[in-house]
Amino acid sequence: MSEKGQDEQIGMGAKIGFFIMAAVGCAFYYLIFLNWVLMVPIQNLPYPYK
Amino acid sequence: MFNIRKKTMLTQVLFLLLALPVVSWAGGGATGFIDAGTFALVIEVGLVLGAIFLGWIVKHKMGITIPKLLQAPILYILAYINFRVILQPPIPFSLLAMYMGVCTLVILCYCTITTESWEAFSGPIASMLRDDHTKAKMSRYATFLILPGLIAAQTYNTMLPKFGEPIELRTVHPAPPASINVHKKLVTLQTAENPFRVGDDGEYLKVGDESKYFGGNSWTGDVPRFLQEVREGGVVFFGTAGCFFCHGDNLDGRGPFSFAFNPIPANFADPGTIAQLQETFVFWRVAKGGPDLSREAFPWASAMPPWEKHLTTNEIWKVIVFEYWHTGFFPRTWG
Amino acid sequence: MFSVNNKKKKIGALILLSMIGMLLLLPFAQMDVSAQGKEEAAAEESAEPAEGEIGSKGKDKQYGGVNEFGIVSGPPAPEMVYPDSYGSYGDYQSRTLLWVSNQQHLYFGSFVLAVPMFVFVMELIGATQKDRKVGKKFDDLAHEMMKISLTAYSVTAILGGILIFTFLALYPGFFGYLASIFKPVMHIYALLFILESGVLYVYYYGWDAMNDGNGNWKWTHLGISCILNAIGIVLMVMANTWIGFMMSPAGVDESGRFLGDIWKVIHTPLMVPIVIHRILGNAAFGGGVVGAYAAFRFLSSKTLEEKAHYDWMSYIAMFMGILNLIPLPFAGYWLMREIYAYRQQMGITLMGGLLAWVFIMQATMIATLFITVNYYLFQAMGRMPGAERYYPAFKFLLAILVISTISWLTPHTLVMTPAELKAMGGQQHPVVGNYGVMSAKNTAINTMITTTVLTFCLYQRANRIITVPWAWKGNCFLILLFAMAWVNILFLGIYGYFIPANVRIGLSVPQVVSTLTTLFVGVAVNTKMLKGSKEVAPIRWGQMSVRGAYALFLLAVAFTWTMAVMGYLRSSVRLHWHVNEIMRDNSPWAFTNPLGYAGNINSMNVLLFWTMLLFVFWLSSLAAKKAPSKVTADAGEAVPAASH
Repeated sequence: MSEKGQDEQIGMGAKIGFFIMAAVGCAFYYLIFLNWVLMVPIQNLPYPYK
Repeated sequence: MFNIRKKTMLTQVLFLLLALPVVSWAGGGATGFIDAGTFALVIEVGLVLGAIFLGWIVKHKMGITIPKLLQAPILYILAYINFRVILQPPIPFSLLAMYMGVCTLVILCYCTITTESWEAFSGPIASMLRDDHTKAKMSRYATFLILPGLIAAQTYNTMLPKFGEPIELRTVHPAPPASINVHKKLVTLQTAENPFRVGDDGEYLKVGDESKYFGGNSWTGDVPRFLQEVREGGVVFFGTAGCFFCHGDNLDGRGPFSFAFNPIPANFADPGTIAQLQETFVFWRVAKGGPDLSREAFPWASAMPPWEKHLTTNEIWKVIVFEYWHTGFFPRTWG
Repeated sequence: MFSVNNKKKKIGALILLSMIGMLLLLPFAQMDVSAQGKEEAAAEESAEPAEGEIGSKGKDKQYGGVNEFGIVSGPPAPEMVYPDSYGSYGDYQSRTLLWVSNQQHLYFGSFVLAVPMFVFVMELIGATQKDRKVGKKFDDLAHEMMKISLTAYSVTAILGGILIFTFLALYPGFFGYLASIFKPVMHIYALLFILESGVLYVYYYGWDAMNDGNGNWKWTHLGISCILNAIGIVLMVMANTWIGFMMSPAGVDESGRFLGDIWKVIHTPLMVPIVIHRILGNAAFGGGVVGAYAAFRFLSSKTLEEKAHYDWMSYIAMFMGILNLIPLPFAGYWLMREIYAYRQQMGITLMGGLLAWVFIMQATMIATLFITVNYYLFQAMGRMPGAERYYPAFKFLLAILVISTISWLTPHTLVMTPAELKAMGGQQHPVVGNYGVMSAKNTAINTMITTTVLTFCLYQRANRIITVPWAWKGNCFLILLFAMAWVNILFLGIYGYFIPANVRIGLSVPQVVSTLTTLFVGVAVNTKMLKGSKEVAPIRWGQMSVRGAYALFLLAVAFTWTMAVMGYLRSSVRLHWHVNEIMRDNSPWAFTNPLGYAGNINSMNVLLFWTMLLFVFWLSSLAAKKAPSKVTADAGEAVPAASH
C-alpha cells in the first residue's frame, strides 16, 4: 500500500516468486516445525509429582 | 477500482461459496457424508458470507448507504434470526441471551469504532433529543411514550405467574470420589487402569494406540486380543445389560427408552461426554449409577441403575472398552 | 545531590536496614535450635515413640520417593466443631466477611506490588533513553505513579490488619493450625514488610535527591527499585504458599501432622503455577489500574497539555498491561493442568462440574478484555493522522473477535428448562456443543490474541509511511505470517477432536507458539519496516475520543472483576475443606454459594475497591494542584532539585 512507484518497478514474476517462497517458509515453520518437530520432545516431558 | 471482468469473477466465486452449503446439504441427505453439526456449520458460514455479499451489493452495486442508526438494528435482528431460527435444534434461552449480549456489545463497538461512524450513529439521536423542528419533536414524544410503555410491559411480563418448569443448572459431570468400593474391592479412581485395555502382547495398551483397532471386525475367526474384549463388551452393551435401550444403537443417547427419562441418557458420541473423562470416571458412573451421585450433582436426576448389582467388575470394564472403541474416542489420561 | 549531613543519615539508614535484615534470620535460628533440641531429646529417650507421636516417623501426604517420610514435629490438625472452633456475628455468614476483607486486602496488595514493577520498567526506560526530554517524561510518569502507590500502601497495611483480625475473630481454630505450621514463614513475612516499607520510603523520598538524569545516582535508585520489587515478589510468594498449602497440602501426614521440613510445606504441587499465574496477573492488573488512573485524569483535565500527558500515559499503561495479559491465559492453562494432575476431582469440579459456570463468567470477562483492548486501539488510531486507510479493516477484525468470543463463551454445561432439554434432544447441542470443549476454547483465545497483535501492528503503522525498499516483501511476509498462524491454530483446534486428551493438551503448545510467533516475529518485522519511515503527521496526543478513555476504565474494571471471580473460584474449589483433605470446614457456611450470590459479592468487592481507589486518585490530584508553584520555582533555578 506504500511506495507505489517502487512497487511497479518490481516485476509480477518476482512478486509471485517471493510470495510462494514466503508461503512455503511459513507453512513449513507452523505446520511441520511447530506441530511436529517441536511436539515430540514436549510430549515426553517428565511430570514431577507422579 | 475493479473493472467489470474482475467484478464478474468475484461474483462467481461468492456464488460458488454460497452454493456450497446447498450442495453439501444434498450430499448430506443422500449419503450421510456429513453429520448435522457439520452441516449446520457449513450453513452458518454460507449465511455469513451471503450477508457480506448482500451488503456489498447494496453498498457498491446499488449505491445505497444504509444509515448507521439503521445498520445496528438490522445486524441485531439478523443475529437474532440466526441464533433463534436458523440454528437447529433450538438452543436454550440462557445461551441465546449470552450470544445476544455479545452481539449487543459488538454492534455497539461497530457503530462507535471511528469518530465518523460515532457521529453518524449518534447524530440522529442527538438531533431527536435536541432539535426544534416538528419531526424531531414528534419522534421525541413517541420515544418518551414508548419507553415507559416498554418498561410497563416488561414489568407485567415479570409479574405474570409462570407455569413452566424451573431452570435446572445440572452438573453433568459431577466430581467423582477419590475411590470407590466395587464388589468389595477398592478402586482408586486417580490411578486405576482398565484391565481389558490390552494389546496383542497382553500388555496394557497405551491410550491412543488402540486407534489401529478402530473399525476392525471383531467377529472374524482370528481377531486381536483387544477386539475380543471389544466384542465381549458389545455383548454386555447389547445383551447382558441392554445398555442400548437407553444409550442407543449408535451410543448417541437415543435408544427406544431414552425419551421416557428426564433428563435423557448420556450421548457418548458427543465429544463432550466420555471423550472428556477418564475410564475410571465412566467405571464409577456405570458401577454406582444415579444413587451414588455426589452432593454437587443436585438434583440427582439420573435414571442410571447401579450396575454393580447386575454386572461383574470385568463386564463393566469390558463395556467401557467397547464404548470407547465404538465411538472412536480416547479416554482422558494425564501422561 | 546528597550533602555531607545526608551521608550520615544514609549510613544510619543502611545500618537500620541491615539490622532488620538480621532480624529476618532469627526465625531460622530458632528453627535450627528447636530441631537440634528435638534430636537431643529423641536421643535421650531410647525407646521409639509410638506412631503419630512427636518424634516418630510419619508418611508424607504428597511426596513420594526419597522424600516420603519425615519426623512428626507437630500435632494433628484439630477437628473443627461448630460453634466452639468458630466465631460469628449472629447468623451472618462469617465466610462472606472474611471473603470481603480478604479480597480488598488482595486488591490493594496486588496494586502496591504491581505498581513498583510498572514504575521500575518506566524508570528504566527513562534512564536508558538517549533523548533526555523523553527520558524525563518517563521518569515523571514513574514518579507520579509511585506517589499513588504510597497512599495505597498504607491502605494495604490497614486492610491487612483487618484481615488478620477477621481471621482471629471468626476462624481462630483454622488460623491457629495454619500459624502453627507456617510460623517461621509468617514471621519472615511480617518482618519483610518492615524492610519493604524502609526500601519503599527510601525509594520514594530519595527520588528527587537521586535524580541525576541517567547518572550513577539514578542507577543506584534503580537498584533500590530492583530490591523493592524483589521483596515484593518474595512477599507475594510467601502469601501464596499458604493458599497453595490449603489447596494441595504437602509436608504433613494424612492427619495434618507437620513433618519437620518447612520447604516441603512451601513447595506444594500447586505452588509454582499459582505463583507464576499471580505474578503475571499482578503485572497486568498494575497496567490496568495505571491506565484507569490516566483515563480518570485524562477525562478530568482541562488543558490540552495535561490531556496530552495523560493520553500518552494511558497508552503506555495499557501497553504494559497487555504485554502481561497475553501470556496470562497460557499460565492459566498450565495451572489448570497441574490441578487436574493433582486431583482429577478438583479439575472436574472446576471445569465441568459444580463451578463450571464461574468459568463462563471468567470467559466473559477475558473476552471483554480483549475486545476492549482492540476497541481502545481503534479509538487511539483516531488521533493518528493517516490511520484512515486502516478503518475498513476494523470491522473485519471485530468480526473475527466476535466469532471467537461466541465460541469462547459457549458453556459445556447448559442452563435450561427440562422442556428446552427435550427440544434440544440431550445435554449437548449437536452444533454449539462442539464449542463447549477445550479444543474450541484454545482455538478461540489464540485467535483473539493473534487478532489483537494484528491490531497493534496496524496501530504502529497508523501515522507512518513505510520507506524501506523491501516494504512489499515485508507486507507479503506479514500477511502470510498472520494468515498461516490462523490456519495452524484452526487446524490444530479441529485436529484436537480426533485424538486422545493427553495429546490434545499438548496441542496447545504449538498453538501458543503460533500466537507468540505472530507477537514476536510479527511485531519485530513491523517495527523494522517502520525504521526511517516518514510521518504523515505527529500523533495528536490528547485528542483521543472519550470513548477510548471509557474503554480503559472498562478494561481496568474487567481486570478487577476477573480477579474477584477467579479468586472466588480458586478458593471455593476446596468445597468443604479448610485445608484440602486434612481439615474439614464444619461451620454452617461450608456450602458452595449460588452463582448469583457469588456474583453479587464479587461486584460489591469490585465497587468497594474502585471507590477506595478513586479516593486515592483524588488525593493524588489534590497533591498535584500544588505542583505549578514548584515548577516555577524549579524554572528559576534558585531552588535545588532536592526539595524534600
